[in-house]
Amino acid sequence: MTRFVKQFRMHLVLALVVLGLLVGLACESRSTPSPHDAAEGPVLDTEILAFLSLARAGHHQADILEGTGNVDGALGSLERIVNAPRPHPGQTIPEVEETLADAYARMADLRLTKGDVAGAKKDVDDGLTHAAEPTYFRGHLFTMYGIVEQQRAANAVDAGRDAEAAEARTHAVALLREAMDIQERVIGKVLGDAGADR
Amino acid sequence: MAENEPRKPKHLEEVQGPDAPATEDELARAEALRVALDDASRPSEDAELLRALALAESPRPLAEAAQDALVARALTRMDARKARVKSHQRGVVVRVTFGAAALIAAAAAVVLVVGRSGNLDGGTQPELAHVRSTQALFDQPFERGQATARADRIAVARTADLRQNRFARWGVK
Repeated sequence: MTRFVKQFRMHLVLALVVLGLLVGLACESRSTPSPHDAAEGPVLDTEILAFLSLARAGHHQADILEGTGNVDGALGSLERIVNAPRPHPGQTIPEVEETLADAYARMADLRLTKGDVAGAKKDVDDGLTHAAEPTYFRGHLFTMYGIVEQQRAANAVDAGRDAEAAEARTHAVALLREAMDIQERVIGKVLGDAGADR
Repeated sequence: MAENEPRKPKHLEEVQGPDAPATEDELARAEALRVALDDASRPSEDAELLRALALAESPRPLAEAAQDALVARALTRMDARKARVKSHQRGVVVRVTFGAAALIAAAAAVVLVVGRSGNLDGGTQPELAHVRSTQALFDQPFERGQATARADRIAVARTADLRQNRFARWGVK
C-alpha cells in the first residue's frame, strides 16, 4: 500500500468521523424537545383523533344498547374503547388518558347496575391509573368509587354484615369527600383560566 | 551528331519526360547520389531514403552497443514518466481528499440547517395545536350519564384543532 493511499484513507476516516459528529449533533438538536414542545406534548394528529372518534362511537353504541336493557352489550362497547390500540404508544396523550378514565368510570357505573361491585371497583382502579392529575375526570372517578363503596355497604347491610357495612360507609364518605375536594380545586383552576380553551 | 546519322523527326527532337535525354543537371545529381550511397557520411536526403528502403527490405541486426544505448535511454525515459505519474497521483489524492472533505462539510452543513430549522425553506414552523388536557372544555363537575356528551365534546373540539393544524401546514390563515 503506498503512502498516498494511507494518507487518503486517514483523511477519509477523519472526514467520516467529523461527519458523524455533525450528523449526531443535528439529530440531537432535532430530536431534543424544546421546553415549548415538552410543555405541550406532540402535535395533534389523525391518529389521536381516530381514537377519540372510536371512543365517541363506542359511547353512542353503549347508549343504544343500555337503552334497550342490554347492559352487557353496553359494557362490550366500552371495553372496546379501553382495549383499542393507543395512539403514539409510549407517549402520554392527555386526551386519550382522559377518554380512557371516563370510559372506565362509565363501565363502573354500568357494572353497579348489574350488582357487580367488585368489577366496578376494578374499573375505578383502572380508570384512576389514567387520571393522576386533579381533573374533573379524577374527581368523577372518586365519585364513582364512593358510590361503589356505598353499594358495597348496602349489600353488606342486606347480608347482615354490619361491621363491613360500617367500614364501607366510612370509606365511601372519605372517597366522596376527596371527590369534592378535587372538584373544588378544579373549579378554582377553571375559573382562574377563564375558559381559555373554549 | 554525325552527318550520316539519320535525323530525328522534328516532333522527337522536342520530347520531354522520361524518354528525354538526361540533362547536365540530372547527370550531376545522379553522380552525387552515387557518391552519397557509397559514403554514408555525406548528407543526402535521396541516399537516406534509398538506405531506409533497403533496410526495410532486408534489415541489418543492431549493433550491441547501440542496442544497449537504446534500452538504457528507454529505461531512463520510463523512470522519468513514472516519477511524473506518481507526482500526478499524489496531486489527485490530495484533490480528491479535499474535494470529499468539502462535500462532506457541505452535506453536514445542510444536515445541521435542516436539523435546526426542520425544513429547507427556512420558514418558521406554523403554530400547531398540540395534545393537551380536555379539562378546559368543561366548566362543571361531571354528572353520571353524561359520558357520551363528554366524548362528543372532546371529539368535536379536537376535530376542529386538527383541521386548524392542516390549514396551518398548508399556509392557510
